[in-house]
Amino acid sequence: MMIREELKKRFEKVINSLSCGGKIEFSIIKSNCTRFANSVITQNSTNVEQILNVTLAEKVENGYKLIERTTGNIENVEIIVEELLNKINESSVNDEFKGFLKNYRSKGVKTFYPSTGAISLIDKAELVKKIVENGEGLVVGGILVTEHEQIFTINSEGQKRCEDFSTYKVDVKYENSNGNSSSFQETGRNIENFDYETLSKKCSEKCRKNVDLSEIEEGEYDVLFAPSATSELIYFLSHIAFGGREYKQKRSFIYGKLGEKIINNSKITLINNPFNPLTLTENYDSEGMARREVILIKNGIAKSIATNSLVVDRIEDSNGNSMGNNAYCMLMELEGGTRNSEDIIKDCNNTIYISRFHYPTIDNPNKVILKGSTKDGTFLIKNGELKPVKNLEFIFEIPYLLENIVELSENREVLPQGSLASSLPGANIVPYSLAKGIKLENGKMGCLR
Amino acid sequence: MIKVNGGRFMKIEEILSKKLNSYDKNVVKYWDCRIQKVVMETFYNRDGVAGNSEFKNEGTGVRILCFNTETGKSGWGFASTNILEKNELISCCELAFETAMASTIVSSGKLSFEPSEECGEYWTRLEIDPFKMSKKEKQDYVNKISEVLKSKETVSSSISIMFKKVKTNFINSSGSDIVQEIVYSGGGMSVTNSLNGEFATKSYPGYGNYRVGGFEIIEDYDLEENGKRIVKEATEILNSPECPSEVTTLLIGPQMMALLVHEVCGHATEFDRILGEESAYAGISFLKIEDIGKFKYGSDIVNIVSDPTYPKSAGSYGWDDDGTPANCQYLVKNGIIAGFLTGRENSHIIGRESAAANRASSYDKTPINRITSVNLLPGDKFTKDEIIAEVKNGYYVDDFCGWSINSDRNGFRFSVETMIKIEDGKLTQRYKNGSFSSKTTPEFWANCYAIAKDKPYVAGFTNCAKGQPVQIITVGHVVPQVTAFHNVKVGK
Repeated sequence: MMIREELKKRFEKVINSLSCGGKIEFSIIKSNCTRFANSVITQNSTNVEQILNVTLAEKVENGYKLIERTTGNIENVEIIVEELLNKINESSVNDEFKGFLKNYRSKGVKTFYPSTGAISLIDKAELVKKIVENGEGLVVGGILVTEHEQIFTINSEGQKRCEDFSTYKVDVKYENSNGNSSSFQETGRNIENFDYETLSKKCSEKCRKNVDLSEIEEGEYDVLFAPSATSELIYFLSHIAFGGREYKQKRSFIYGKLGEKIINNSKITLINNPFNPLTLTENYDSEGMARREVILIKNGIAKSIATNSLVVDRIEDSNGNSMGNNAYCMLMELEGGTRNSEDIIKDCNNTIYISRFHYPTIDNPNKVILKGSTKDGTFLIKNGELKPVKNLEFIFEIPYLLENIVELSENREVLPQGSLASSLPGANIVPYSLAKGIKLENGKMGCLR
Repeated sequence: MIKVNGGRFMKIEEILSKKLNSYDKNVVKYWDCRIQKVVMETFYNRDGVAGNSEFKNEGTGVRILCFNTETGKSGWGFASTNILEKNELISCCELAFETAMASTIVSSGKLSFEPSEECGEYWTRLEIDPFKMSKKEKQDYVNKISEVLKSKETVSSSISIMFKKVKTNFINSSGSDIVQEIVYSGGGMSVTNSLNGEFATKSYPGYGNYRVGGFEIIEDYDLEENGKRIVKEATEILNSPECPSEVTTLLIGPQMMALLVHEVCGHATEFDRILGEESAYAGISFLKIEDIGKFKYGSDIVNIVSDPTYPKSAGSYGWDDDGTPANCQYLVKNGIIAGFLTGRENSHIIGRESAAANRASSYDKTPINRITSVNLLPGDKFTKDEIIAEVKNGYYVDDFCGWSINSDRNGFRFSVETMIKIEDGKLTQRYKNGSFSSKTTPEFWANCYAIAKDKPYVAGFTNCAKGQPVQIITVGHVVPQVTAFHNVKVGK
């Protein structure tokens, strides 16, 4: 699957002939999603899609007049440009746009692994079969997605590049005869990293233990968040706290506090790292700025936010995190600790273990208060032993919860960002995290200031 | 029409059907194709920064049910492309076939599917065609409204309007040939005010409301007057006391009720959910197959229907993506579960005709059981004003801003922008950070004691997410102006 050279030349000719600024982005994506439920494949789809985005920008006194069109029809690119040129005067002046970006040198990290794109439909079905068989009678559901995308970008400021991306995403749930479940998720560029054997066996074993659920008494508990739950907590910070536009609008809780201790816990160090080969590596953001590693929190001190050219004063101030009109951290890493999660669990007593959240939503964006419930295995750890309990509701003020974290595991996992595992482009690398002093009242865990 | 070898033109449908009909009918038991053309325009103004975007796409999706004669097992396959060249279309059919055959490796056995045999056309009637208006006219409209979304406390405001035209041609192996062109219009605005480090957001209509129709839908919303109102109300919220915590009488306004019906009736009655097919992602349902005609969902006055024939509802259409004609079916009748949202693949399990609820978000997705226009029917006794006048002590809530729903849909927590105390039949004090929670059934719906008989409100959302890969679809909810409940927990 390749973008034809003749097509690239045609786009280049169109850009070079413009009297105003312009950008063309053209992508071809081939993806396959094998979906299974009740231990059989229920949907199996293969998509081939090409998308052309043309944006034109005309400099006027107070800014730029912008016009854009996204289409699957590439036959008439010259006509599209002509139509847009004829309509550009109808656009309002945008004083935020600072022009298209020049050619920036990237770190050149690897984003494509042929094995991911080349896996056959039969091999994928066989892989699903093995994941189902490893359930040994458990009801199995989930997805296995593989994608190969090629993107060609060219603009009037001299940007010109062609990039390939491979992606795999896995989300599997095992369910026992009592209707209780366990799950695992993983994402990355190289499907050869996907150790389905270990993950599916560990997950099905956990599911089998998730029977005879008991209620937990009210009181104060330690809470151990498994990586899926930790990832979710971090994900909500990515846009609500570290989003460039939220910060610019003074809505982020860290507004005006860069350089200050925002989380009174020196264990918390959070970075946005697009270069870790275990994650969804990227060299450029959606504007074409070279991505870079950004330290967001260092030992509890706010260091930076995600930016793009629209939310900073000068284009060069962007740290390469553009996502459409906003800037988000999509590839975050929470620094781990020194002990393995198994050793942490051995030392836990009267500790609630949360595998994953169900339907977490923000209740108060300014304080980053998250509410929802737990799923896929909630346990009470007594003297290092996990005893299954019923799912719990929660309401957590995330910054305050992070202050209460007393230990992070050395081992970390790569997880798709957010609970919409199959739809978000980001991934986090996170450890297990142990928090102290969480109150449980009326079946709801609370951690509010 | 596309150009093929020799300069000859052929209809896409002809190329696809010729290829699909060439397969052995003992192996390919069923096929259908959707050839779809989408045009979408969005106009926005965020904090004074105005802009617009345009999206156009045309593609085809091919769905095949195969029977593997060697293993005796069946499997579904689907493939799509928007590269509308003859070779690519043929390759798309081949991919759909290969995908279906791969599915038979992990299959439950022999699957059957009763195809539709429908031919016809369905078009949205437009009073003002938004695609015939100039971009400038639409952008100026948005910019003008954005001017009223300001006050000295305002830190952020946004407005956007969207128009989407979807033309779909459906053909299948049984000779169905259906053409539909549906136009969705709508939008929304919000303003965030700040005072002493506190923030309050107010939106209208909700975070965006959508219907089937033209620019007249936007005009109906009277965005200018409502814009002035929400700016004022955002400041009122800032100066209001915190939402109390108590069990009380709750009157729910239409925008909030639309989401509530969506989350705890619409999703709960999706039949694929009930069958466990969405368990790994969207969740399950507290309802079971055997609940039809028996399960007490709510009080006797609760009647909820799936009605994709409802005019102007964003969940209305002529046929679903199985080719089943839109039809109205009760989901809850006099408080008892009466039906589910089904498609042709699974309606036979409950011995019913398909509810025409098998829908795909676009040509590149396979159809699954979705919310259609799921409507809570109005009452026949009291008006909204009469219901409010009867409340001695309670609250009125509307305009959702946050929600979390249990995996089986039998429990929920909603946050609202609008929460106003009702004392002796009058709306009095406004509260901030309003919220309420309950168990869906029997607690919540069994306590429904009054439903307004006024002309119902036509709500519609464009962001209903389900399926993997996620399918974001447009749905409608026609709901009463107010619905009243006893014994609801408000506050944290």
